[in-house]
Amino acid sequence: MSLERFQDRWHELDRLFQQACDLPREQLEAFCTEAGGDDPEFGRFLYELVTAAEGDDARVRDSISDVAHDVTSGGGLEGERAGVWLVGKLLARGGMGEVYLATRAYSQFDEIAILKVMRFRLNKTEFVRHFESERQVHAALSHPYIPELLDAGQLEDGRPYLVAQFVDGVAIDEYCASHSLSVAERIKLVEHVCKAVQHAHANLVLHLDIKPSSILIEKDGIPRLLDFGVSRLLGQAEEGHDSFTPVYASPEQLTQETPTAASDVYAIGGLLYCLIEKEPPFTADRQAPAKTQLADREAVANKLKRTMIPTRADRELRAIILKAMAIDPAERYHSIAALLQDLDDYRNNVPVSAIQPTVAYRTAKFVRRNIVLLSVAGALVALLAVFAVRGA
Amino acid sequence: MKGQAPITQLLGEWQTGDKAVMTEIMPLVYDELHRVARRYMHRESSQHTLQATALINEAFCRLGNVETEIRDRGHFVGIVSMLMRQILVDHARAKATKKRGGEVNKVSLNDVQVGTRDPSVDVLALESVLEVLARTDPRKVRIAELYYFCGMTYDQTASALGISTSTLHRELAMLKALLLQKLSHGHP
Repeated sequence: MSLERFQDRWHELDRLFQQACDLPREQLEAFCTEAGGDDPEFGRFLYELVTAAEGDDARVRDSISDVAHDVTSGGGLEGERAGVWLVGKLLARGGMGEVYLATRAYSQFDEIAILKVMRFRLNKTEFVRHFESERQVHAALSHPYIPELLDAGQLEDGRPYLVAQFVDGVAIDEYCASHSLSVAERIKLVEHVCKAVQHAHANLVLHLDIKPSSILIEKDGIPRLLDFGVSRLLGQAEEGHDSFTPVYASPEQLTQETPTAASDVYAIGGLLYCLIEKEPPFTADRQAPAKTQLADREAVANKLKRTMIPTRADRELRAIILKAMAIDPAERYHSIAALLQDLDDYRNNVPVSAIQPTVAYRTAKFVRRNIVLLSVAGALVALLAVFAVRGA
Repeated sequence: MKGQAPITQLLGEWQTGDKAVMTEIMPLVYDELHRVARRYMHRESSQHTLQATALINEAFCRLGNVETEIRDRGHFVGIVSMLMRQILVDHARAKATKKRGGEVNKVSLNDVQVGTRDPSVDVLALESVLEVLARTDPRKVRIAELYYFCGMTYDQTASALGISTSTLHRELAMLKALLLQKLSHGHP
């Protein structure tokens, strides 16, 4: 039933609608039936209108705003071609652009890939400068935990795109929650991530946007670290525009200083915090002024120092996170390898470097590490004492 | 933003044929429009500054083709909001046509996205209501453009139309009912 059918009775409809809205609910149906008169459908339409008026118009707003997104982000690549790629379903839309599924056109086998279209446009020279170097960087990265970059190119409107291996997985935080992973298992996953980052650092590539949503865990538990170099690309392309702020940006990234390997260490600290505490360390409001965000970072560091988050992390784990998330990059782990070592030591009850090596601490760790052995030894000592007493 | 007089004056000059005036109008009205466009990017507003700008640019391009006489700033905003609606509806229509054209989509993974609500189909449904309203009750169409398509507040919508908020409230109740009824019952 549509308005079109009743447009001749529009003014009547308008008037009846206002009246019906003021009626108590139980009288509504009778009122509408009577209003319909010879045309019961008119009455039913009126009834539908009055009941619809109680609804939430979020769907109206959302649909309009979704289409606006489409127009403004130049979305709607679905079904189009990008180089040799046939663009499929839109998977996600974010600060950096859009992510689609894609397959190779004219290909015998259905290789599925991810096509990322950046939201900025570059002219041909800029594109060659930024992207070709990026492609070489990616080619150098060959690691089981880093999806392979398959192709890169530029759309007709100037927007660059990257094509990477499709990863069928869920974000690391969701994976940990849905599989109810233990703290040790969560740390083990973070260690895997560290290995991928370590490999990249060895090849002189920084990630600079490590966050739970860029780490997907596949069904077999293998993590895949996505979006290598993308943030750097965004940073370069948007100089002078609204600069790109990674979600887990380190303090130095917030203040626009040159990021280093220590910035990735910071983000992994944040990741660890998120997985252990089961909530992000700070509110990731990219719009907030850098000063506010910096204050957030400092609050996290203070919270960790004052042991205000003892819920899930014990003293050592907290010390590890604190060291990784130190405000001053010089106070952080000097490399991913050092962080990795501490995580591994933590899981194996070996003293961690994040804690001052006092005799008491090392003894406590020694006891926990060798708890079985020590119990046996303790029992022996006790037995000997008993025999000694009897013998006397 | 400066007072209203210079804008009105500039708009008048632009209307009477001095197209160069547009370069002077742009920065004056730009801020206002920018805010307007940003409002309906509400869901991820921080990330869509660039997109909002692109949309406004498109609105301005189309503005060059508007024949009506522009009276004042409120009227100008009204025209831009009408253009916004037109831009969005055109886009939704193009998208729907493409789908009917039966574009072959080789990628058939279906486990990634849940929910099949198609915003462009929704927008076209809303537009069909507005087309009927244009004949019977044009003021509700203006309200829809300002309030829904431009994301203006109650007060801004009322003042742009020069009506009281209580009138707006009554008009909007009916408008909202018509749109929601269409979305839930009258969807093709």
